[in-house]
Amino acid sequence: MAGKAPVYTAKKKSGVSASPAAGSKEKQRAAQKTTEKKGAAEKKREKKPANTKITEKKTPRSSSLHQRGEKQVKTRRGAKQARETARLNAVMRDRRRAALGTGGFGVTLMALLTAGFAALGFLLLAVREKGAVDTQAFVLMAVTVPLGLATSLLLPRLMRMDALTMTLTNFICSVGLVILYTVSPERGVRQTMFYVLGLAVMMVMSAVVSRMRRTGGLTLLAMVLGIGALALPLLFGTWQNGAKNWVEVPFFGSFQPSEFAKLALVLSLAYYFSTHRTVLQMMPAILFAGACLALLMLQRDLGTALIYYLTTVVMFYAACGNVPLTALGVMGGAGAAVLGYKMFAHVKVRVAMWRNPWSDPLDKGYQIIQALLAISSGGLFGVGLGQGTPEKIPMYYNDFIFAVICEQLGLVFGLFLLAVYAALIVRCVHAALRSRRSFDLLLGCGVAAMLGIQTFMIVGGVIKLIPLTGVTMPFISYGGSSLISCMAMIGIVHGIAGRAQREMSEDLFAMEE
Amino acid sequence: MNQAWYQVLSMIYGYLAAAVIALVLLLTLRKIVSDAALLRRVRKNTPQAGAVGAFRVLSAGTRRLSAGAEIRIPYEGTLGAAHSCDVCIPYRRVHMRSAFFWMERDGLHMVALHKDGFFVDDVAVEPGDEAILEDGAVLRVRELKLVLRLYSSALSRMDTEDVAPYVTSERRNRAQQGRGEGIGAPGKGEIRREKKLRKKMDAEKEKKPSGRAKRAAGTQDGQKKSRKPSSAATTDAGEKNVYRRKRETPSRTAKEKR
Repeated sequence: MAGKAPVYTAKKKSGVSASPAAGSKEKQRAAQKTTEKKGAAEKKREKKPANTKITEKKTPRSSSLHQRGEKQVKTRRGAKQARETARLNAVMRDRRRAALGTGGFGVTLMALLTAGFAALGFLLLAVREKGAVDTQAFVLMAVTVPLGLATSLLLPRLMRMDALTMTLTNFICSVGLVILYTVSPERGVRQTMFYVLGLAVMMVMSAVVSRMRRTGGLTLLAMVLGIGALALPLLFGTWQNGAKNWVEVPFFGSFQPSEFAKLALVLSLAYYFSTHRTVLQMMPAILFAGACLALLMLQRDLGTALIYYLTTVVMFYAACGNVPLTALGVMGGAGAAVLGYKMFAHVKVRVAMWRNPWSDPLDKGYQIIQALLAISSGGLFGVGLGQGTPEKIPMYYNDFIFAVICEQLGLVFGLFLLAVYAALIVRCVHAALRSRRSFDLLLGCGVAAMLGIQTFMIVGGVIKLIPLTGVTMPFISYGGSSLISCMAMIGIVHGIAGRAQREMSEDLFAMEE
Repeated sequence: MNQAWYQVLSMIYGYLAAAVIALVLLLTLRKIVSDAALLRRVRKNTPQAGAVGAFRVLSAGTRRLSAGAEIRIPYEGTLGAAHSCDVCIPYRRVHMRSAFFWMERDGLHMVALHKDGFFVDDVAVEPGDEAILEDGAVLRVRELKLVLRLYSSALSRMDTEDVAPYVTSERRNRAQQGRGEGIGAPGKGEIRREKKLRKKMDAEKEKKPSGRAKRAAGTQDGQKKSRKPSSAATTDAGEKNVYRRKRETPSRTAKEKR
């Protein structure tokens, strides 16, 4: 019916005469046509089975759908495969990055910033004098800037070191070199020499630690050397600033053995705490630490003794996680501090000056008062490089270098510098946690603890947060012993990170194979 | 340079220094965060990296350890309930430091530290004993049951000759002496006494019983052997020259006492 209706309407629309006779004829023709069609259809039905008709009619529709569906499935599969390949590529990229452990763009930029900071500082100091150019500053710039860039960018690729740790170390060292050259050019030059020597020591330590397999013999040797080094000042030492912790060597100068004994302490504690997990078996290391503390007390180097003690406590807790025993150790330390306060007169003086330095502003409290005044006079952004009066602070190049930095470059710079120290310590801990041996882990934790405690003690002393202890600010304060020992500790961290990196890359390559 | 100019330049340098250190700090934080994320992703995508295998929990008497959970095993370390352990099992009935382990070519070596010891494939491992766990070994510590799954990458790495096994010589020496590292581990004197006892037992064995007694003893031995499988730790004692405490059935010890 539906098929016929348009025929009539079409004819009507076409304007053909619609007489009854003509209409009947047309009807007859239409009827004939339909019967012919029906007949043809019946013939077809007779020739072919019933289902073929259906298939003939439906196959084109179903095939197109099927093709469309296939296409959709294909596109879906393609998208899925693309996603999967993208994911696998990302995984492989991650693996490669993790295996190589390179610094990336951020570290390169940081190295360039560090180089720019040092170069600009030395350039500014070179033209400080009116009508004269300081060639020494140019020489220092020519030495430190390329060396810093090379050690930050090339050395981590060559020796499997941690690029970020290296860059941060270089930045802190460059701050120290620029500031020291500002306040005392002679000391700045000497410190640059120690910096170069420290880099060499760091590379050696890194190579030794990353390849070290048997640690027992080395630890014993380090313990013997450590005790010997700490006994040296008692035999041949000279009194300086109320402590007998310096040894004079002809044609070489003086050095502080307690700085190098720090390495022995960390090494021995890491060894005994990692291979022995009961307190009795840890005793050799604890006894060694006790002997070191006793020798330092005899030298009256209480600041270093406090660093040794706190590092031992931190490493003990990291090794065994025994809270009661650690608390007992802390309480013992507090008792020893009280005993030290009662025994030593200069400790009493330092505590009194910490509580109220204005009670004796011209003598005993002079140092702290000058430091606080320098920090406050610097303001937020400092008085400028080479400006101000740092020489008014006693020991401005050593213990109170942080006050000089705050005066010249500002409190903002000082606070950010402390944050950089914190980032360096976090990075050390990160390297330690990535290692697979408990010895490496404890060694890294010990180094991080030692650097952190030392920084906190000196900065806290300068800003009158805690009583002042005569320790150096790591990497910045003037002193070859301190700088070289700190660089050696950073070398230990590099060794640990390099070994973890190598093992990780070996694992990943083994999995790929 | 003129003093006034120098003052201006040094002030500018101060501002620049603050900007530089702020930038350095930001880049450092970004690097630390991105490195941590990278490590997390690598560990997630490739759990085999940095581990020799994993303990899969079969059953535990605690809600904190659901069945099917996996605990990654590093190349060496301690196993126990303490947080300081390298493989920390959050289950109070496990001793704080139950065992220490290290990976070698033949499998995961474990030395019991606590007097309770543990079971490997239902074979008791006493303090000071060294058990070698292969892939699929079932470790039982009280109600906790763990199955060991060793990663093929770690094993393939152990096969390479240039890589030294992940064990310090000191630990190996201690294990060879059968001392272990913990409280309750046998001392030298005990080891000596036990060696003496073992020699005596061997001498007794050499005396051949005759007739019916021999047959009866043979069947008894056979039954015992079939009931109790020899542990992995005791099978290769002769090969590796490692002293291991001989596991004894209760009836046998009672006999010796008599």
